Amino acid sequence: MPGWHAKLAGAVKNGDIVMLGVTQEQHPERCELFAQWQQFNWPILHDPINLLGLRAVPVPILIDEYGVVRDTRPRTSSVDEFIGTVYPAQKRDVRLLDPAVPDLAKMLADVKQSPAANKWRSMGDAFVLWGGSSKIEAAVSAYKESLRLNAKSGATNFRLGVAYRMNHERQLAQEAERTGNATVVSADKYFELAVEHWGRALELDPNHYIYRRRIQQYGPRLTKPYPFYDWIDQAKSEIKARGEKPVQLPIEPTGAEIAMPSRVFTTIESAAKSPDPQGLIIRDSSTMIEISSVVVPKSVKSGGTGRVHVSFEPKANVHWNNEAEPLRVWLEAPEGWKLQQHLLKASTPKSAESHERRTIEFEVQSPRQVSTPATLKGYALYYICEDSGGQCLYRRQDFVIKVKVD
Amino acid sequence: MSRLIFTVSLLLLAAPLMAQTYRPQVGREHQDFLLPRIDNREPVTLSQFRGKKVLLIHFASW
Repeated sequence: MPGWHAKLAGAVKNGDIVMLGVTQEQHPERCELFAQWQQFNWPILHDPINLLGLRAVPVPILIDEYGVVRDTRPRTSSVDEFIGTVYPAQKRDVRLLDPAVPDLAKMLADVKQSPAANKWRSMGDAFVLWGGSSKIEAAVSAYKESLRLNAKSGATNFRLGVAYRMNHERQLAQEAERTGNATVVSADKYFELAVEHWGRALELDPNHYIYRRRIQQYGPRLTKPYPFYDWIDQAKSEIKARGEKPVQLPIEPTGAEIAMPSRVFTTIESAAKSPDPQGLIIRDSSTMIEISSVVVPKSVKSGGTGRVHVSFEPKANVHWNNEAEPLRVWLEAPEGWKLQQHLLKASTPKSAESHERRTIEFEVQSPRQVSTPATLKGYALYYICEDSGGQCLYRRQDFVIKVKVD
Repeated sequence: MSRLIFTVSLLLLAAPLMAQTYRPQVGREHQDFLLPRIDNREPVTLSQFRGKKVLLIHFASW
């Protein structure tokens, strides 16, 4: 991309050509930060649901003044010829779209009157692209209705996964802002559903790299082609060094999204010992911390790996005590299964107390021959305080994580 | 007969919507599309750039 930008900067400035980007990723702000970093001064559109049906990126296309495709595999060295060529006028046979945002209510009335799988999917697309975060639930419903009529659509499964992931992040944002005794709804359920539907899309179309990349973004290092978002810290510091304010990211990439790919499954801390082998620490019997987990991909192949995302969320009336030792997690795997790490620690903010959701991620490898799901057993140790009364407690909570196999 | 023509017409209308793979062809008009901008400014159609040469580039920041 930067190569095209550098090559065409002069021609764009002179009005000889327009650069128009379309990004295939879940979070537009990350691409906006990338564009700020690279000083792209051309419009970039957001296609989180793969509306256009791309199977891989990057794909550059040269289009003439009449909207006619002139090159689908251009090189930077051949673009001058394209700019200098006078193309003949061509009769228009493509329907041109209105640049206005579609009327969602009218679309919905129409699809309800004459329902069809494609119409419901288009309705879901419109909710995702034009409805804002308040319409994500509606998008989920529309895609589900589309799948009820045609369950074997890879595109609809993928888009439903995108909407579920959006719902997961919307839920996290709401939980972060909540006050009082709001009911804690586990956002991870939506993430799990996203992974499930992305997986189903890939099963239906195994050579689809856009579908595959979305799973890899959250998946194990062994299957990653590159780190995805490891460039973000560098981008921010270079933007600041230019005296600019970097684009703010509502969802900072962490864990799998910035982890380096690996060719081998590595284990660390093999000599680590269980911090509470006899189970003496008092259990968190009132479940002051809610624990949930998601495995990516949704099932692990024989000899394959999965990345486990585990979340720890304090209930509304308690908070973390950050002056004591951090949240620790001990994990054990069944015979034949390997864990990347047995003992993990969650990062802790600098403030004396806080109320945020904490996460850890780790990877697990299945045995060569496996046909039954695995149950990983673990426990978490944490310091937690009651908001009223201020009583602080050291507690243990046991949990299990089911890992499905293909 | 009229029902057959109606059904065929419906299928023809639905065909572009059912197309799942992006396959622009040299010498053919590029399908128009409408998408939001990453910076939340006004949505954009490809056809808004008629009259200008365009490098359309599909990518991701990852």
